[in-house]
Amino acid sequence: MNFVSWSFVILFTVVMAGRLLFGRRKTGDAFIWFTIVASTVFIMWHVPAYLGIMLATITIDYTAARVMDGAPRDWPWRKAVLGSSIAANLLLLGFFKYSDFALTSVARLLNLFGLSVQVPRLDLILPIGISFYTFGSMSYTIDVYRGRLRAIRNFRDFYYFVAFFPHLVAGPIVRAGQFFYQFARPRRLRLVVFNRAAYLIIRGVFLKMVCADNIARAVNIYWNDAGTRKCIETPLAGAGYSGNLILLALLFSAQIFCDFEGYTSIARGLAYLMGYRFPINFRWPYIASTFSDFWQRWHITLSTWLRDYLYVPLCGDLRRRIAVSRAYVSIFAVMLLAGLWHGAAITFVCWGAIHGTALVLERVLRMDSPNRRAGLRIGWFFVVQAAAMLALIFFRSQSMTAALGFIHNIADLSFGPINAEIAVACLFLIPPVAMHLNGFLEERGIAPSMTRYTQAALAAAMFFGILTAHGESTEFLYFQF
Amino acid sequence: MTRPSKEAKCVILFGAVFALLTAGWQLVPRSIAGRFRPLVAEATVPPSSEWYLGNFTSQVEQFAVYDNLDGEADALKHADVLFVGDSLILFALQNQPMLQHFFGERGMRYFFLAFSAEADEIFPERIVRKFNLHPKWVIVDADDFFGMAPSPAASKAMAFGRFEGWKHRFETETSFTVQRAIHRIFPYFGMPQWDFHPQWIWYRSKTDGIMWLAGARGNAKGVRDTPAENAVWREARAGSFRSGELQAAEKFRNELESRGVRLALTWTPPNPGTNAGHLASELQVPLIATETRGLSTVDGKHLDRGSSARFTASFLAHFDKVLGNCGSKTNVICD
Repeated sequence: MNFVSWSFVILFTVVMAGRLLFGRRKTGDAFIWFTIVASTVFIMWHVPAYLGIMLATITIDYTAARVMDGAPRDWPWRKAVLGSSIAANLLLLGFFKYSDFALTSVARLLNLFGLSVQVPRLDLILPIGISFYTFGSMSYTIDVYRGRLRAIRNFRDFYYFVAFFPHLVAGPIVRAGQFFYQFARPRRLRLVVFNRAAYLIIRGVFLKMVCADNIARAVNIYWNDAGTRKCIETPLAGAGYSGNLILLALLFSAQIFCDFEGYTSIARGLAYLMGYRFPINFRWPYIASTFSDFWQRWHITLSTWLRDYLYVPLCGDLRRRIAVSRAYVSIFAVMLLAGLWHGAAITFVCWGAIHGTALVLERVLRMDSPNRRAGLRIGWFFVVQAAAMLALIFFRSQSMTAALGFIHNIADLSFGPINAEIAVACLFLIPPVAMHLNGFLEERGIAPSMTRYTQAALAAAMFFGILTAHGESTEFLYFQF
Repeated sequence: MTRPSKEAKCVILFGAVFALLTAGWQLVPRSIAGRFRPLVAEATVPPSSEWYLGNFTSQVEQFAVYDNLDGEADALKHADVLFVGDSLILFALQNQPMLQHFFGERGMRYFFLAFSAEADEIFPERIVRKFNLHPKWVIVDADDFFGMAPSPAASKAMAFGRFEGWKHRFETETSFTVQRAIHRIFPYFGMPQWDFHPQWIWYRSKTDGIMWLAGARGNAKGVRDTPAENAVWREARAGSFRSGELQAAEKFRNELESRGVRLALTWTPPNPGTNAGHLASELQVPLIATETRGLSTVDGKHLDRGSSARFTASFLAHFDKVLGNCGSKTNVICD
């Protein structure tokens, strides 16, 4: 189910009615069961049978955690239990997400050796949110293994955590440790909570429906031709295609931010109405001055997940000095896997490789040091943002040929008049740019934080914007992951 | 009297700013305000429940037919002639009274198995198999048709079950109703109001699948006149098919032949008909070659109502000849 859909409006209205009628403290059994039913409807709305896949993940991780928690720390099978649970999760994820990619890759490899192999495509429908709930659930078993969490005794409570609909489909990736301390805390729905949540929801819907969806219209029309000769030859792209393509890449950077941050903002608002706080997922990524700063601002819950559950084990004990080369290899490997997490395509791997290379290069050149001269830091900021935009060209393109064609067409440096449609779409860049600018000024203490009154006035303006400038609603980009 | 709390003041402020913006717009002169009315606010609604919303920001029609949401399959099963193609044929043959009269006189029934953005034979073939259809004729608008990929809507309809179709229709119809209500008061500044791409809203008949245009926007243009009958395909260059096009067309013809169905090809302006003509000659099936001059479109691509009526008359006259030639023959080659 999509947050920006009428079916969700109906479902959430029913949930809120339940919250007001018998879930005022949000911890009562009746409301928990009611929310479980709502979450189950939410996931079954996509493909009803896929509830079974989520149930399999939940059962495996619940059982593994119980077994590990009940056993002494020196029990020799602890690692095997964790390994089995992780393997089962990755197998499910891999089967649905990477089967076709693996099959075609093997076929291509065999073709290279002169063996002509035709592999049929499985074309499986990806269970909605599988990448997100699998990571959330896996983090729980790893934390129990590490002794940071006690296993949850009640299966219902664990199901509630994994299936909780505000974070189910596209994050933020909420860890058990961030969720369960709130589980038993009563949180009444007071006006202050309602206002804060309404602001987050309106802001999210505005970013999605006004900014992302309107920008998407121009991006979707021109992107597929952008990497071809057609882009140069069609009158719409015109003589100045390089400038238009740079704008198109810029538009997509804004679209993906508005789309994903919009979703996260709605999810945080919904969770807040239901009595839970979710972690933030974005902190104005396009003002990041270094690559490491970028990853502390972009999809924060994924980057911290990768750091804690992938980078740290790859590097070993961080309290000891580790070989620099090992750290570099680990960073690169983690970023490649981050790319692959997004989807089974070489373009995503390339996106990860660009970020991995950039992070390593930054460390080698010590460009992340605050002692660098101001001029150099400003110059590096532009390098960071240009590289992030370049990586997104691979992220959005259907194939490597298309992505390289896109870059090649930019490199022609043929500048001329800007396509009128792309120019109009650039108007929808104003809100995200203003938000980033405000974030920049707030972070540096130049502008004060927004007051509640400012937020209320802004929410009203954004609500007016939603009614008057909504795009033609499309699915959230991160639904496909 | 107690003072409102800080949070209550926020709610009041929200309401005040929103009311101010809404009232402010009402003060804008009508001549300016009128420019910001979206197509949905201007769309007309068909007179009876025989029609369903087929296309509004996304396509419902593929789901409606494939999932038999309104009993379209019953009409499909009883049809003697199926029209297959994309939006071009829907616009070109939108005159229901003319079609009803023509087919009614001959004791035949027709159904439009054509869909927006659906220039491929895979989806109609799946429907023919799914409902085990045995019409007498299938007429394909064949210019740039065979060997292409199904549309996203058709792919989704084929991959998911009936539930998906029902959800998709619910979302589209609710959006349509809500947006019509909202834009009676509020203006519209979204991208579709500014860009130059054609926009349509149309309904489809549950009984014959014909399109009922509720609203269209685009730059109206004339159509270059089509040359004399059959001249186009004679001029067609041999071997000018796209990769896999001829094979896909042959497979489609064979599937129909195995069901005792006759295939005929046609084309709709502004397409030149070269592709259709050459394919008909390769497949040895009749070509319904229309000849109409001075046609015009609503958006440079799709015929307007007036042109559609003229095109339909020409099309039916030529189809009548094909029927005459082939009526009693078992061989599908009837020229």
